[in-house]
Amino acid sequence: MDGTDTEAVERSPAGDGAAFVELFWHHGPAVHGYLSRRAGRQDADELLSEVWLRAFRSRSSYDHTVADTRPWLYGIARNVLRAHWRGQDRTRRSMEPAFTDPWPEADDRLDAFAQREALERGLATLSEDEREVLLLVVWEHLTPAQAAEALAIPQGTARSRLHRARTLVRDAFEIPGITGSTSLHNPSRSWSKEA
Amino acid sequence: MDALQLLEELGRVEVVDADVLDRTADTLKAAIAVEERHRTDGDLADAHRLIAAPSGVGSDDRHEERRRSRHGGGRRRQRSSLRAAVTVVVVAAVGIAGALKPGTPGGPTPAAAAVLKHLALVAIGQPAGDVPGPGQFLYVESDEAYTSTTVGSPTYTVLMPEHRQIWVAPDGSGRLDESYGQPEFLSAQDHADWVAAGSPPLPHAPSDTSFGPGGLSLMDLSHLPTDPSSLAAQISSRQIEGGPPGTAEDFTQIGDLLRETDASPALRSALYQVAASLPGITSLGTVTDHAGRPGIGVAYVHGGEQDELVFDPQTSALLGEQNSVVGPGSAYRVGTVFGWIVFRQSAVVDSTATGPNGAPVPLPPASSAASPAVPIKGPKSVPTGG
Repeated sequence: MDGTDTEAVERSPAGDGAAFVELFWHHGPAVHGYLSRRAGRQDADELLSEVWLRAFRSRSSYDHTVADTRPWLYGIARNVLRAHWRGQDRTRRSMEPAFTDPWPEADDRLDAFAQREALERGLATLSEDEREVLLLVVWEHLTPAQAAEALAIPQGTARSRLHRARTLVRDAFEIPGITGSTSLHNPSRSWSKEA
Repeated sequence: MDALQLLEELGRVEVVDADVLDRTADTLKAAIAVEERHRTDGDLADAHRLIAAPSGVGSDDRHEERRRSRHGGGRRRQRSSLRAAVTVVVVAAVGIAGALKPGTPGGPTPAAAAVLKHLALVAIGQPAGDVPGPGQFLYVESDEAYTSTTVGSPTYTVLMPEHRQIWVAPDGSGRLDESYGQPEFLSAQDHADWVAAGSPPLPHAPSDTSFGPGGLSLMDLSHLPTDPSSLAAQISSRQIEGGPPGTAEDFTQIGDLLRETDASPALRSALYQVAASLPGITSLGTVTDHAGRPGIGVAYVHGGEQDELVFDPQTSALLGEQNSVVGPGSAYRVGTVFGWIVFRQSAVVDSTATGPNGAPVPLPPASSAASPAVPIKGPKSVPTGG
C-alpha cells in the first residue's frame, strides 16, 4: 500500500489497474457509507460498483494536483445518487427523496422519534446544496473545502452554505421539550421514548 | 444534545459487508482487465522476448535447487532418509499445478506485474489466518506428482503421484502422511528402461510418520518484513534460505514462503509484490490446476522449463503449481509436465489426529507416534535398481 492516492490515480491511465483497485480498497468502504446513508444500504450495495466504474473511466478528469481523492470520488458518487433518485421517482421534482427513507437502520439504534422528526424538519428547510455540504461535512467528515471540491462550488460558497445549514438545523431542533443534556454514547437509554 | 451531534450519530450506522466490497472489487478488476488487455495486445513480441531469456542454470543443479527448497523440512527429511536407506532413489520433488492451457506454452502476456500486484491487493483484503501457537499444528493437505528417478542399470524416471498430509508445529514436531498412486513413465524410453531393469514394483509404500521437535520444520516467518523492498532485499541476498543467485531461485524461494507455511496476508501481499518486480515473470492468464480449479497463473521460464504458480483469484491463496517443458534445454521433451501440486486445504489444528474442522484423522500405530526426532523411515518397497 505504498504511494499516495494521487499516484494511484495517475498510474492508472498508464496501465496500472492494480493501483486503482488499491484506491478502491482505501476508499470503497467510505463511499459505500455515503451511498448507504443517502440511499439506504440495499441500493448502496448496487450503486457502489457504478461509482467506481465511473471513477475508473473518468480518471483522466481527476485533478492530479490534489493529494486526496475523496472529494473527487464523492463528487462522482453524488452524481450517481442524483441519477439514481431521478430514476427512482420521476414524478418528484426534488432530486432527493424524503429523509425518512435512508434511516431505517438508524431507527433501530435511536428510538428518538421526536428528535429525529425535528432534525428532518430542519434538514427539509435547507436547499439541496446546503444539505449536501452539511452532510458531507457531518457524515463523511470532509472539510468544507473538500465538500466544495466535491460539489464543484467555490470554497466561500460552501462555507456560507454550511454556516446557514448549521444554523437552520439547530433552530429547527431547538424546540420545547428537548433538553441538551443527554449523552451521545448511550443512545439506547438517553433517547428512548420513556426517557 | 446538539442537533448536529444527533445528526452525526444518525450517520454512524453502518458497516459495509465484505461481500459487497469483494463483489465490487471484482467488477472493477474485470473492467480494468478488459482495458488493459486492449492496451497490451500489441506487446506480444515483448512477451516472447522475455520468455526467451532463460537463466541458463544447468539442468541438474536446477533440480537440486528445487529439491532443496520445495516443501521445507518435511520433504528434505524424507529425501535424506531415502538416500540413507538405499542411495539409489533420487526424488526430484517438483512443485507445480496449473495445467498449461494447450497451445500457450510460456504464456504470452506481459501483464504479470499487474496480475501480481492485483493479487497483492487481494491478499491485503484477506482476514488474518490462524498461526499455530504452542501445541498447535499447521495442517496442509495436498496432491502432487513429482519425478522419481531410479538410478541403476538402467536408470528410469517416473512421475509419482502422491497424496500428502502434513501437521507441523512451530518446533518442528508433527506428522507426515504420504500415500502414492500409480506412477507414469515420463517417456517410452523410461518404460523400456524399467522393463530392462526387471520391472520392479513402482509405487512407493504409503508412509505415515510422527516426528518429535525438529523432525519437520515450519518456516518461521514472523521476522520477515512485509515491506516489499525490504523483503525483496532479503530474498535476493539469500538471507532466508540460502541458495544460488538468479531470478529462477528468487521465484522458487517466493514459492517456498507460500508452500505449507502460515504466511500472513501482509507477507503474502509483499511476496506477490516482490514477484511482480522480478524480470521475466510472465502471466499465463486463467489456467486450470490439476484439481480442475481455475486460477491465475504466473510463471518463470528457465532452461526450457516453466515453473508455474497458480493463485486463487478470490483469495490470492496459492492453489497449486506446475513444472513443464516449454522449450529446448530441458532433459525432457517439450510438452512434458514433470511435476505439479494442488493444495487442497490448510488449517491450524490442536492435534495431529485432527484435520480441518476437527475431523479425526486416525494416527499411525503407536510405535511410530513415539518415534525420535530423526525418523526411521525407509522406502519399504522402493526398487533398488540392481
